[in-house]
Amino acid sequence: MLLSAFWFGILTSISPCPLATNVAAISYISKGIQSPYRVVGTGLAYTIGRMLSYLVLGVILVGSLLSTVTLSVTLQKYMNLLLGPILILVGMFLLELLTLRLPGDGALIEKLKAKINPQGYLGALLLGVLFALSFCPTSAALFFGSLLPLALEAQSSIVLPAIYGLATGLPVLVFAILLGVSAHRVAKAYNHILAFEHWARKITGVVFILIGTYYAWVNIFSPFIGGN
Amino acid sequence: MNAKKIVRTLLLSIVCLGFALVGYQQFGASVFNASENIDVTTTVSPKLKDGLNVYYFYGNQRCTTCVRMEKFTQKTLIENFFKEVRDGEMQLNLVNVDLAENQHYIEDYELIFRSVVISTSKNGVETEWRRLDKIWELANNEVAFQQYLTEEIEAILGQTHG
Repeated sequence: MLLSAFWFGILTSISPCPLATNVAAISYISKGIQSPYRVVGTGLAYTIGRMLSYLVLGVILVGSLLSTVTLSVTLQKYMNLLLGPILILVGMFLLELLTLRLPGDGALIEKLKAKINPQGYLGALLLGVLFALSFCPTSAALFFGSLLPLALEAQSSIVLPAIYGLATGLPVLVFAILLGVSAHRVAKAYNHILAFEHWARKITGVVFILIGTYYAWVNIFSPFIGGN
Repeated sequence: MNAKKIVRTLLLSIVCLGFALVGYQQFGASVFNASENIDVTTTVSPKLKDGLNVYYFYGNQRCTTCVRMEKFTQKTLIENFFKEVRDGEMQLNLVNVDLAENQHYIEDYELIFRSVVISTSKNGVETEWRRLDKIWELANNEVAFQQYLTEEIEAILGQTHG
């Protein structure tokens, strides 16, 4: 059962359906090439974000706190509608087209700013939560159709969904680490690590805006103008 | 200024317009439905009153696997049930459940995710239906997919006629 949950998670992450969000996640995680530890840390935060999402869903659904149909339909509908605009906004923050201005300049505000900075660990965790809850047809079928019956059968509201969540983040995490570490080596060899970091961030911002525009088109604009 | 300001304004406009449309679709649903361009596939395929309906449910967001399964479903009907389809005893309905007028199917068939449903009707009344969720497990195996769908259709027809 544990292996099955793990396998369903791997299948979810390698299926072509969430490819765009995986590219965004890989780009996001691997951009912190200045320190390989940061790449790993960001990747772990992203994976924990995914785990938390599925774990909460598991607790709600296995505990029958909400109807599976209602929750599944609501998530598939609303999260995908919000995904595009949110990704565009994050991309704008990464490109510094938008900056976070909070009232006051105390130490607490600065600390808060640093925490919710879209480049920080909390940002990666929230990204994991957002991507996990933005179900595409394949991930919805695998989570609600394969993982959930397994979790219900075992009455496992925490362990199986958490293992599934871990597995959905794992291939992205491994790929991002490989990419981040190899980019770090190349940059170090040429002594251009800061310039590399600067460009990696810009590229990630552009990737987010492109993917966000794609989702906004597919889920919002295209159905509205009837071009779908 | 320039370029940076223009890009910022443009992107913020897309974001605001996106949020506005989402809000409009959710809260101004009745107005939106009246003016909406209706998908041809959903309107030209009325539910068959006497016979077997095969529903393929999809959403605005298509995926490679979904498109492939749609093709498998169409092929199964053409190759194995050509006579029934030709004689008007069987009908394939491709239904976008993200359209407001089709959302009742989600409740009707408890569609937790996109799936295929087969349903028999007599005198305009549905007599039996089955949701074929196993299609997702067979999405990479056309032979097994077609066999599964064929067997389920034959079973529900056998039950009806038997």
